[in-house]
Order: sequence, then C-alpha cells, then structure tokens
Amino acid sequence: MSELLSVDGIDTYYGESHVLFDVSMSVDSGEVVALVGRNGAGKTTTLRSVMCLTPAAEGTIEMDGEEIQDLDPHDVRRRGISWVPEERRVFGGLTVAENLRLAARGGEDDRTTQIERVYERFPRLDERRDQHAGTMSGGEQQMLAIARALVGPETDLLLLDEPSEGLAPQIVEDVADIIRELNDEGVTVLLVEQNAEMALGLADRAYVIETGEVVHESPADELLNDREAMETYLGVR
Amino acid sequence: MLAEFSSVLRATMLGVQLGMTLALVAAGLTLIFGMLDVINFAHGSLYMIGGYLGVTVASQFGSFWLALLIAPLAVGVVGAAIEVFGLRALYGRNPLYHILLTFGIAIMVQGLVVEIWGGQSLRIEAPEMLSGTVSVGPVQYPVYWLFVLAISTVLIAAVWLMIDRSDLGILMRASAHDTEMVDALGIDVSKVFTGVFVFGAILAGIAGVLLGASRSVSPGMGFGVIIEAFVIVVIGGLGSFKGAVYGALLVGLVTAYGALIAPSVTDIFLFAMMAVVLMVRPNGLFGATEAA
Repeated sequence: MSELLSVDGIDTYYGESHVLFDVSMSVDSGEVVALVGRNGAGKTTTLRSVMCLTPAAEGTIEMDGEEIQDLDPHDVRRRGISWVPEERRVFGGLTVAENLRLAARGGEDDRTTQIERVYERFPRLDERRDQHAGTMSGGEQQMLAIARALVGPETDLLLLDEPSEGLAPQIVEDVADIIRELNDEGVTVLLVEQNAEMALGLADRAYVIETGEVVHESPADELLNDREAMETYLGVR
Repeated sequence: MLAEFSSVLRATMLGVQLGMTLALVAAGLTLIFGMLDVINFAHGSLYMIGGYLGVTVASQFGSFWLALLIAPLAVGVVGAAIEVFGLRALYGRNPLYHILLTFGIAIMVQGLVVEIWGGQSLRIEAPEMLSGTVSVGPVQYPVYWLFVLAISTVLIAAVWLMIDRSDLGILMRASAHDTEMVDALGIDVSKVFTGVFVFGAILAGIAGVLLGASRSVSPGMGFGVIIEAFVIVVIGGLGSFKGAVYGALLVGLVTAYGALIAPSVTDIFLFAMMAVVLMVRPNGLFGATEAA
C-alpha cells in the first residue's frame, strides 16, 4: 500500500502553549487509522494541524508526496483531505440542502449529481432536505457533517473527529457502518475517538497519543487485546 | 382634518423613503459585522465619499446618472483598499484594534474631504426628468423623493432575495455562522470577506449619492449617518440583514413622525426606542437566533 498522508515531526502551539511534540504518523491509501488517547492529549490538534487550521510550527506534513503544511485550509481541502470536526459544526441556520450546496461548491463534478449521490447514501437527510440543520438530532447532524465532507472536491482522506460523541449506542453503530462502507469504497480514514473500543474495532492500525506525544503504534487489534496498554494509555479496564 | 391627514401621509412616505435609504447603509454595516466580526466605524465615511464623488462627477460631466454609476463603484474600490491593506491584518484580534483602525480612517477621511471639497455643504443636481412634484392623494410629493424610495426599495429587495436564495447568500450566511468551517470546506473565505466589504461599501456609496441630491453633502454627514446606522443595527440585531431593514424602516418612520410632533427632540425618540428594544430583546429584534 502506498503512503497517502505522512506527518513528520510536527510541533504545534496554541498561542504560547505547546500542544504537540514531535508527532509523526502515516496513513496508507485504503487504511482506517485510529488516533486514540485521553481527553486533551492532542488528538483534535493533530487533525487541525493536518488541515492547517492550527498550522504546525515545526515539521512537515505530506499528502500524496507533496508538502501541505504551509497551505491555507481551503487548499488542503482541495488536495483531497476532508474534515468532519468535533461537535459536527453543521451550519444550523441553513437547511440540509443548503449545507450540502455550500460544500459542493468547490467540486469539479456536477453539484446536483454529487448531492443526489449523498442523499442516496443518507436517506434520513433526503427526507429532511428543507429542515434547518440546527433543529436536527445529534445523529442526523453527524450524518450531515459526514455527507458535507463527501461532496465538493474529491475526498481521498477523511479526518473524523469524535464522530460518536454524544450519540446513542445504536446511532454509534450506524456511524461505524458508514465509516466501514466509505472505506470499502476506497476512502482512507483517520479516526480520532474517545470511544477507543469503537475506533479500534474499525481501524487497521492505531496510534496512541499522550500529552502531545505519540507513545504507541501498533495494529488496532493488537492494541485492543493488550489489556495493560489499554489500561495505561486509555484507562479502559 | 384633511390637512392633518395629508401631513401624516407625507411623513409616512418620507419615513419609508428615508428608512429604505438608511437600510442601504445599515445593510453593509450589519453584514460586515456578521461575517467579518468587525465594527466598521468607517462605514459612514464610505457613504460620505459616495456623496462627494457624486458631487464631483455630476458637476464635471453634468450627469446625475453617471454620478450614480461611477461614485458607488469608486467607493467600492476604497472599500477594497481598506479591507485588503487595513483590516485583513487584524482579523481575529481584539475588536479594539478594528475600532481604532476604522475610527482612525473615519477621521482621516473627514479631514481629507474638508481639504479637497472645503467645509461648506454641497448638493448634487438632481436630473431634470426627476424634478417637480407629483400629487399623491392630497399630498404634493417631490418626484425625486419617490425615485429614491423606488430605487432603494428595489435594491434592498434584490439584496434580500440574494441572501435568501442564491449560492452567494448561502455562503454569506454560513460564513457569518462559522468562517473556519467554510474555509475547511474548500472555499477561500478571505475573498468572501473582501467581497462583502466591497459590496457593503457600494451600497453605502449609492445611498450617499441618492441622499446627496435630496439632503446635502457636508463633512459631518459621515458621522451623522453612522450613528443612525448603529441605532438601526442595534435595534435590528447585530449581524442580521432582515433586522437592519426593519430597523431602518422603524428609524425612518420615527424620524419623520418625530419631525411632525416635536422636531427638536427626534433624536431622543430614536435613542429611547433603542433603549426599549434593548431592554425587551437584548439581542435586538432579529439578533442571535438567525445567522444573517
């Protein structure tokens, strides 16, 4: 498998505070990679650094062999990286249809076709085209946030930040199914989760991050079965 | 009785006309705040530049229509310069920086205007075809004022439709809600920012030319209108376009009726109204619950 994303020794700051220390990781084409760790470990910041929303101060990030760490977020998106943020951040005052129309702007393909394709995948959204996104349930908003990440410029790598957060167990299952489906169709996924068991169940490989440093890297099932590591790194007994 | 009815009718027409024209100024102010998070104290200066350039173009070429076309576009260029060379470096900073910059620009513009055009008030010559009066029921009403009412209303309606329906409107509402997210969707938000600033500037420039031919053009008009526009935007809800339109109509009507009842205290009515709205609805009539 070829390397799609390569993060090499990045250091990231929020203002004065140093959040990521020499973080390196790679994601191969076609993989699902989980990035797990406790609250505040730097998982979200890692994704924000990849999107250049909180640019890395040191180190390089390569997508398809080209450095992207100095780009603006909209150019990162145009390189095929799509971000589903924590807490979904759908545009609450816009309808479902408007959310998708906006996201489909940057795409090369015919927008209507693109949008109809995601409606087929997410029938719930199809039923709610004219509903304001802010009035939908958390699960529906999560579907919309994922759908929004799939239209517009081609999506090669999907960055998912806490997609299970605040959702009922049944809905978490649905989200996991969607991630699996998308991966089967060729979308590479970098998944950040507090819910380590869900993430490791989906992933091929896993990284554990702790206070801004990568402390563990292994196949996902290996970590899942390593009770000691699960307890030390993630507090899972 | 008839005399009273006709003066109320006249005041109503005047109020609506003034409201719709002020809405052109307030719309830009509120959109700029909603999207860029910038309180633009220089917005009144853009309106004033529109008026003065209107005077110059109209007198140089002898055409009001040319003034109405060229002056707002030139104001748009000024707006672009302010956004690109001034504000852009300050986004995300403490709002105090925005206020200092735009307030400074407003003072500079006022000084420049006095330097170039002098301190006396000037007037744009309204075109021949819009001179005279027309009778509306019992009221003799100036044709030019009806024209200002019509053109302002059409422009505001067009902007309203654009924000409500078009892709650009969706983009504007989404950016007002969460600019970072819009950027991450592959859309260059900095271009949107410049676009909105220029758009707001052009609307203010149009208002400057329109009112320059009915009121007058003077170095104090920039600060005068910014106060009215702030009252409107606070009443309507900061960042809300609909709020700005309703707020402007309210302010226009209160000004006109106030002039009828007690001309010397009209301003007090306006601020009292603002205080009441803020007490009942602290976010303004359309604030916070709605993105644009």
